[in-house]
Amino acid sequence: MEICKLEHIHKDYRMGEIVTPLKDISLTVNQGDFIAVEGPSGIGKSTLLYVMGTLLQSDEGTYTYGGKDVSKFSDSEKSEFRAKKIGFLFQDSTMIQALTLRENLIFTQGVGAKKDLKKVDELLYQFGLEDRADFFPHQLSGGQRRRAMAARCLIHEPELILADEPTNDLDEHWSEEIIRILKEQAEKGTAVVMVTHNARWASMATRRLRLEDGILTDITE
Amino acid sequence: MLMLIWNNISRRRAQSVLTIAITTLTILVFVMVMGIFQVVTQGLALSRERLGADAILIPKYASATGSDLLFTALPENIYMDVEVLEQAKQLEGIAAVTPQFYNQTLDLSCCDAGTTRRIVGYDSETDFILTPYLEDAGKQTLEAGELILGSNYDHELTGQNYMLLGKKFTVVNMLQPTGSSMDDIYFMDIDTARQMCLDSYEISRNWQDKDPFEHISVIMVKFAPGTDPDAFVHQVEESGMDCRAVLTGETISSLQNQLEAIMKVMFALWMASLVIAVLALVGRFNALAKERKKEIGLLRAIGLKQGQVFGLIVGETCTMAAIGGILGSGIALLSMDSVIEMLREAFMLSPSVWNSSLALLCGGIGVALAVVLGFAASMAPAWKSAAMDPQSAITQGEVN
Repeated sequence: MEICKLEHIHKDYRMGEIVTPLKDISLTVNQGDFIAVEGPSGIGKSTLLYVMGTLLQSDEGTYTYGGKDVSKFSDSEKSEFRAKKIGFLFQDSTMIQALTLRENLIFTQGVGAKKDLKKVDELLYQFGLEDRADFFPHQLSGGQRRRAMAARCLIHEPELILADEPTNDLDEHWSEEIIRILKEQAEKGTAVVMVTHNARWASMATRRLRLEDGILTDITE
Repeated sequence: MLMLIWNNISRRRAQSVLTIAITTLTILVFVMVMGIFQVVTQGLALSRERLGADAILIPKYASATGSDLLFTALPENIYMDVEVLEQAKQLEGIAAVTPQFYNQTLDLSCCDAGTTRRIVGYDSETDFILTPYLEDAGKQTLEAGELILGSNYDHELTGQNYMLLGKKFTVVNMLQPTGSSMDDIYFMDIDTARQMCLDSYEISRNWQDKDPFEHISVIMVKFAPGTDPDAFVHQVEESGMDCRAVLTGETISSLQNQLEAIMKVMFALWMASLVIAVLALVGRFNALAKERKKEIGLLRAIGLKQGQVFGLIVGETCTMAAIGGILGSGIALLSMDSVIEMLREAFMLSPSVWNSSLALLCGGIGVALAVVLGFAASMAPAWKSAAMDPQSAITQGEVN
């Protein structure tokens, strides 16, 4: 079942000269997809995730989600859409600094869904953070923050997970564990779009795409 | 959202303390300026309204001014012949006159008040000054050992014994607040005050062969309706009497003008401090918004709407401003008694109108102003943050 569809998406940046990370992108994401997007650094992989997450408006093309044209959403509708449907796992470890790890999860959950403290505790346990629940972000290591962000990404049970280099800062064990959890989410019906440089993690996806020169190519073997 | 507002304030302590300190100082100055202004203007209005006398006749060559007589309870040993009273009764435009005789307490004498204060002997037969303000309206005429105290004395003293110049008195009545020097003065029968000049060893030396019973200090004058005050002053000058007229209204107006000029300067200084505070707060909130750019991007990414981000920042700043306002108002109100005391000494003023309702009014306005100040200073940074493109905020924001 289709979740979202990008058709001929084009995006330019004006940074002295015009940079075009997304030239003509077309992609259909279905329920249960686990998609890996590969490509060299700075090519526009993150830009693609931002467009899919409605944090960035494309210049041309259509983006539909559940059959609705997302570009016609108001800013408020986009916020609501993100709160309910999208789970972001950003490249940088960004968290709300004044809240503890547990409070970060509760707050994020409260924006898009009903508060469920049992779910919060389950995720803390799943990501090995139960003994760090009352720590502030600056008291966590890079790897712990990364796991915390992964937990936050799942807290409101989104339909579409957008994960940008999800294994950054993680050791081998937790990298494998995060990929396993993302795959498990996909098997449960959530769509996952993951940006990665790592061929090993990309090989675990159900579809592999390569972004180069603003064009997305299917390289699934 | 409220939890996030409170945590952002309480857990970013250094930043919050700085913001609260700026607001506290601004509101502290504002509440004090406003409180002093209220006290001075209301005190003067009250004095004008309650003084009773339209003019005071004082000895021709006395150096005391109208302000000295009306607004301080310091001793004024000025005397003129009692005959002046009879002459004054003949002046045109007079509705009533009543004499007063001044004596004083001593600070070094045994069995005395311990400080130098004016004692006023008044004539209860003709008095129109004290009578309206007596707490016990039935007790107007005083016997030799009886005393009335101004409103600034402890009200528990009524019915108690009180030593003045070694003589024992019974406090039989108190005055209601007048906002004038009357609040700090001892009142007794005019002949008792005269007799005390003779009975006190220290004071009797000043009288030598003069008889206090042949003298008065001032004459309080009430005009008949339609009397022109300036014409009355001229009439006294032309009469050849051994006195001069001081118009109480003019004295109060003059003092009011001086104080208003000072208040204007204070207000201008406060306005300058307000502008500095607004600039400092705008700078702080801008810096805060910049520091938290990435976090604001995150909030937008997880689904907070523009209005919610705006509300979050304004909520934080207004809460900090309100805390600053409460602290500033509180400190100002706690300091007001000392400030009023300083005013009394510096401006010979008796601002006895400071009370809990005026304090609540000043404090309330102070807190409200603090919130308005916080809101005004955070509007632009909050709007800028809320309207920021979420992707730019996340990718360009500095890491916390």
